[in-house]
Amino acid sequence: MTPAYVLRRLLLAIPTLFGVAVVVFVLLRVVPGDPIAMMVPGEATPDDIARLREAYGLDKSIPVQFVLYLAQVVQGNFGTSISLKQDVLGLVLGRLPATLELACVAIALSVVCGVLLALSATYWRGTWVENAVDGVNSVALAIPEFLWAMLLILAFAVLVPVFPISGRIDPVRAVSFASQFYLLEALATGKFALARELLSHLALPAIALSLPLIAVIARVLKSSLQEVMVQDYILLARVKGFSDTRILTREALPNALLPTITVTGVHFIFLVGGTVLVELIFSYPGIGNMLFGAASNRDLPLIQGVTLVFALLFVLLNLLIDLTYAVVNPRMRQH
Amino acid sequence: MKKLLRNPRFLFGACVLLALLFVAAFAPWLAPHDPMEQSLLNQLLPPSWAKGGDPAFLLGTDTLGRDLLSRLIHGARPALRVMVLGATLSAFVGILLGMLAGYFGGWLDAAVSRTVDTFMSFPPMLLAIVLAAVMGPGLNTVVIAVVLIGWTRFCRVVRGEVLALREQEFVTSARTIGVSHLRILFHEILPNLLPLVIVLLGLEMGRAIVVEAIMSFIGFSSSDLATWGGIIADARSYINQAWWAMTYPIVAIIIAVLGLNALGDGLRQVTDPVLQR
Amino acid sequence: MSPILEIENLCISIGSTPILRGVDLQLETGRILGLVGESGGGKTMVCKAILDILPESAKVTAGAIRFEGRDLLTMAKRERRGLLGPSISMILQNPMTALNPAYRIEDQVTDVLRLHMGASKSGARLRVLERLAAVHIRDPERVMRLYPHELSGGMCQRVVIAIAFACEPKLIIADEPTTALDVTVQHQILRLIRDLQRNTGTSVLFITHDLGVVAKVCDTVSVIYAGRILESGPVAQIFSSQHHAYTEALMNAAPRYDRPDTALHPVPSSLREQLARETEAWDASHA
Repeated sequence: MTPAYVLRRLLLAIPTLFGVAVVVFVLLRVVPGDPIAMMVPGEATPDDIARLREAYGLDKSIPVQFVLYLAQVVQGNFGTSISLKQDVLGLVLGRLPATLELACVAIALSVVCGVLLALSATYWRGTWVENAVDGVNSVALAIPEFLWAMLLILAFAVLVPVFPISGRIDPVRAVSFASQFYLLEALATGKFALARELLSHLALPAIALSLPLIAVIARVLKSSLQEVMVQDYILLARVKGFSDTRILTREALPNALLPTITVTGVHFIFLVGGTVLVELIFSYPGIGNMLFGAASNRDLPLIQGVTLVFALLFVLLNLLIDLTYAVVNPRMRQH
Repeated sequence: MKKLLRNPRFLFGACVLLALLFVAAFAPWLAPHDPMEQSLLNQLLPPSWAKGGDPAFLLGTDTLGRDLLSRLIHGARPALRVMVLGATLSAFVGILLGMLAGYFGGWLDAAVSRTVDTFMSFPPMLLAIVLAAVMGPGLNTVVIAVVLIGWTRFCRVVRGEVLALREQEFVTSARTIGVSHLRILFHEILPNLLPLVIVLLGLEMGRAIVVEAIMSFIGFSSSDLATWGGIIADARSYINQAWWAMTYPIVAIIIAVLGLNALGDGLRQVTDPVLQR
Repeated sequence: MSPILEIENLCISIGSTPILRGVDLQLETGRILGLVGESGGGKTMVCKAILDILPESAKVTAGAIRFEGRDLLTMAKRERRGLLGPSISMILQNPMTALNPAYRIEDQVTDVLRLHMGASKSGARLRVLERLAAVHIRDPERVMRLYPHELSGGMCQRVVIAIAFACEPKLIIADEPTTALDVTVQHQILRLIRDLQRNTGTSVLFITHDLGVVAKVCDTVSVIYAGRILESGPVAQIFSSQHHAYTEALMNAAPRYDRPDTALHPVPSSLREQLARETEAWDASHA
C-alpha cells in the first residue's frame, strides 16, 4: 500500500481509457446519416455545410480525426457541442457535481442499508427476520431497476406524496449557489432547511439507484458473515465472554467485509452507470440526463465527452475499491 | 424431460412464455380496439370497474383516448420480437466468438477477451444510447442494442466451457484420428454446450424484455407501435391525473421478467448435475 | 477441598443418538485432569457442554456440571455467560485459526483484560507485556504490534495461552493444545502450560488423545470411549498398576519413534466389539 502501488494502478487504467475512447470514437464515426446536415436549416448551401464540417474537423480522414481528437483531449479540449454550441468540457463539468452527489448519496445509502440488513439477518438467524431479509433481497433483485424507479414514483410521489419526482430543487426557490455541489454547500454553510429540501429531491432517485446494490451487499455480506461466525476465533471470543452483539460487530464483521468488497466492487460501478437512466426518469439534471439530449441530437462531441467522463469515473471508482481493499486487509498493510 | 415438467419454476416460466407468444401472435384478434385509435371524447377514462369507467374500455384510456387494454396487448408484439431476435442473435454471436476463443486460444483468445472486457466496462445504457445516436430510433436499433449488451455473457461462459471441453478425451481422440477443427467444434463441442446455452437463453430473454422496455420508454424504439415502455412514458406525463395507467405495463413486464427468469432457473436446476444431488 | 469441577452422570444426545452416556468427572482445585480418548469419543462434547457452546441439535438429557459447587446447567444464562473469561477460559486446538486475523496481538489480549478487569488502555498494555513474557515470548514489544498471520504456530499458541491465563481464571479447558503443532514445539508448550499452572494454581481440564502427553503433564486422568468413562484415577496409578484393557490398548497404539521398526498396534477388534456391546447395553437400559 505504497504510493508506488497507487501509481501503478493508475497507470494500468490508461489502456482501458484508451480502449473506451477508441470504441466511442469508432462507433460514432460509423454514423449512417450526417450530423451536420441534420442540424443545419433547410436553406443552407452545400458550401455552408462543407464549411461547418470543416470547422468541426469532420472532413478529415478517420485516423487523422482520432489523433487530433486524442491530442485535444490530453490538452483538456473536448471540443464544442454541436447542439448546445458550448465547450463540451465546460458543459460536462457543470453538470458533473449533480451526478456525483446523487451517486455518493446512493452509495452511502446502499452500504448502510445493506450492512444493517446483513447484520440483522445474522443476529436473528433462523427466525423470521432472516427469512424476511432473504425475501426482500430476492424481490429487489428480481425486479429490474427501471421498474423499481417507476414503482417508487407511483408509491411515494402519487399515492403517498412524500417526495418530489423531478429536478434537484424546487424551481420556485430563489437561491443562488457558489458551486454546483448544492448539497455539500448547503451542509457546509449550515443551511439545513435547504439541505433537507435538496435531500428530498435526491431521495427517490437515490433509492432507485441503490436498491440492487443494497440487495447484493446484504446477500453477500450475510453469507460471508455466516462463514466467519463458525470460525475458531469467534469461538474464542465467545469464551472470552463477549456479548453476541460485540462478537457480531467487532469480531466477525471486519473479517466478513473483505470478501464482500471483492465481490460487490463491480456493483458499485453498475450503480454509477445506472445514473444514466435514473436521471432521465426523475428529470435530474446530471451528466446522465445530458447524454440523452446529446444522443437525440446526434451531438457527437458531447456524447464523446460524457462517455469519456463516465469511463474515467469507473476507472477511479475501481481504483478506490482496490485501495479500500488494500487498506482493510491487514495482510497488505505495511509496518 | 419428465423432471423438467415437474419443476415448478420451469412450469411457471413456460406458461408465461407461452402466454406471451399467444398474446403477441393473436394481438389483433384479442384486442377489443385499435391501439392507435384516438378518441377525444373518451380521454383519461378510469378502469371499467371504477366510477366513471366505461365497460367498452376495460382498463381505461390515455390522454388521447386510446384503449389501454388494446395498447397493452399490442405492446407484447415488439417486446416479443426484440426478445426472441435479440436473445438468439446475442447467443449466436456470443457462442461463435466464445467457441473460437476457447478452442483456438492464442492471439484469437486474447483479442476476443480484450473485446469482451472493453464492452463489459461500458454501462449497458450507455451502449444503447450511443447506438441509438448512431442508428436512429427503431425496433432494429433495440435488437442490436440487446445483442451488444448481451453477447459478452454468452461469450464468457461458452469460452470457459470450451476451454474445459477441449482437454477432454473425446476431443483429443478426434484430433488424433485427424478430424478437422471445424467438425470437432460443431459436432463434438457444440452439442455439449447446448444445455448451458438454453439456460442462458432463458435468462437473456428476460433481460431483453427489460432493454426493450427501457428503450421504448426513452423513445429510442419504434414510435408508431404501441410499446410497454412507451405506455409507461406516456403515463408518467399524466401520472397525477390517471396514476393507474402506469401499473398495467409495469405488471406485464414484471410478470414477463419473473417468468423468464424462472424458466432459466428451472432449466438450470434440471440440467446442472451439481444441484441434482 | 471439594473439586472445582464436578461432572455427574452427564447425558447428552443429538436427536435420538446418545453422545455422552453418563459421564462422571472430578477435577480437584489446583490440579490438571487429563481427559483422554480417541476421536469421536466425546471429549470435545464434554468441553462444549461446560462452556455452553453445544451445537443447537445437542440436548442435555440428564446430569449436572458443578463448578465451585454450583450446577452450570441450571444456572441463569446471564450468570453462566458471566463466568466465561474471569472464571473459566479455554485453549483451542488450532492456534493459527484461534486468533482473529483482523486485529493485532496487542488488541486481542487487552480486550479481555479491559472487559473483565476494567483495566485502562495503558494499564492493559503493561499487563499484556507481562503476560507475553510469562509465556516465554522474547521481544514482546515487537510481537504485540504484529498480526496473527505474521506469527508461527508455536508463537500463536503461546499468545492463546497468554489470553487464557490473562484474567487469572480458576478453570482452564485445554482442548488438544499441542496436536496441531510440530513435535519440537509440542514439548515446549506442554512444559509451559505445566509451569504456568503450578505458578498460578489454576485448575486445568486437559483434553487429548495422546497418553504420552497425559503422562508428562497431568495429575489425574479419565479415559473416555463412546461417551462413557471407562476408568479414572491418578496418573501414576493408571500407568503402573492394573488398568482397563482399553487404556492398555491406547498405550500400545502410540507409535514408538525410538523404535521405528516395531509394528503398530491398533486397538484389537475383540476389544472394540466388547466395548460396543457395553455401549448398547447402556443405551438399552437408559432408553
